[in-house]
Amino acid sequence: MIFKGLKYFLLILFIVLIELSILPQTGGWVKMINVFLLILTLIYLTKGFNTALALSLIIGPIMDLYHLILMPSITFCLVVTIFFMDSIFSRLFTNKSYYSFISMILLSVLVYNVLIKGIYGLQTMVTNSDFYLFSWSPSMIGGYLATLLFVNFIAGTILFLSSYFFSNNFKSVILRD
Amino acid sequence: MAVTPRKAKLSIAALLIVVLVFVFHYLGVLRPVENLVMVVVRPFQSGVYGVSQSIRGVYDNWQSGQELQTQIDELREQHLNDLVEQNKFRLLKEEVDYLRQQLDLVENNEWQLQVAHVIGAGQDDNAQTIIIDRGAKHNIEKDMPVITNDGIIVGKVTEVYDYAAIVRLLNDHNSQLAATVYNEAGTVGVAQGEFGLGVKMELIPENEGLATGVLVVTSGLEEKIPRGLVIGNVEKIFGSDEDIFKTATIKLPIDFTKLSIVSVITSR
Repeated sequence: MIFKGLKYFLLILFIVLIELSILPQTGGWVKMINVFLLILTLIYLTKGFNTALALSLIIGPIMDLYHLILMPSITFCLVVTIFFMDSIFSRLFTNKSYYSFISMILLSVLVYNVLIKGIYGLQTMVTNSDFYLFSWSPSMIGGYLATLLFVNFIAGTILFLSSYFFSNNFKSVILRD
Repeated sequence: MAVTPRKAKLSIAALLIVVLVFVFHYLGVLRPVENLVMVVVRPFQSGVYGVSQSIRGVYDNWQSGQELQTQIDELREQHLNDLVEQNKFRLLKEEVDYLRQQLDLVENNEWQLQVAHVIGAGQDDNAQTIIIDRGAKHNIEKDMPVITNDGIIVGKVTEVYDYAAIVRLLNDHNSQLAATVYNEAGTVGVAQGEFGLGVKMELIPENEGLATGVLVVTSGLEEKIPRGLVIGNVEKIFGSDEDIFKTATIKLPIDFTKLSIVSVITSR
């Protein structure tokens, strides 16, 4: 139990440090990697809905603390994303393959970012009377989302390969009679 | 497979927790827990941020080497042009130096500074923020200005915890700072961030003789921010001759992503 708790504490610390102390130092597109979403998706597929939800309720408020966005917007977006991810996964996917993992990554990144950008835009609108949200052209939004999804697709693939080679999480099970 | 009642209940419970976090955060009930999280994470953040900055430094050096040759060629070409412009720049530099010396030196001597290490930064590309390792226990309050050792303002404290604070940088889209331009008219305006891309100043009357290269400083109209902190130089001016108001972009003198030590002006 203690070991498990320690394991999750280290995981949370790892995510927070990557998000707040390492990624901001990187330039351009690397900053677009949603590390906590990638890891939450991995946790969802390997440990299940409950663990992913619980983890999002811990990581979310911590991330909220460090961002100047209406508290707890990040937590809210994470919870909604996981719920959405679970709805889609349980209806459309039959196994935990690379394809389902990547699909879940892309779906979660899309849902989360649309939600968080929407909340941020609304917040800016209310606090600054700044309606920038409506000034984005479809091509700008499309370009941004395409880059975002591509970057997270690459990062998700690396995470999947790491998980595949260093654990049994995605190893296929062969049933023998 | 549909969503099971158990999952639905869990999701509702999670959303309820979100609502409770919202309520308790704004009531201040969660403050001790938030401070505890900051205290636990801070030492790790400090170390990791330092290491990642060093790695970035190595990468930047390597990249600089690659760009060096290109730059040499460009510089040779520029050199000829620069000779012509040199005299103009010399005069401009003298003016800037002079103006800097005039920037409320008396006030400067009365500032109390709290030196802080940058231990992290907001990762969201919408918000440009840094996290510093000084907070309410070090007399830091909301809206205090954060500067570099050269007296260049980088942002304002926006959220304060006991042992840490979050600083909204000038180039954040929600950042607004009362500014003045060092021209004859002493143009006053608001310097506003633009999604991390830079800072702009809007609603500048057409007849106020704005020119590129002119220094922009804080106007001192905000309660906790003294006059004369350097924001940057006017880089480009937008608007045709017929326009009543113009917009200027301000070139920031430093790269905010490379900040490692800053100072907070805790009193004027």
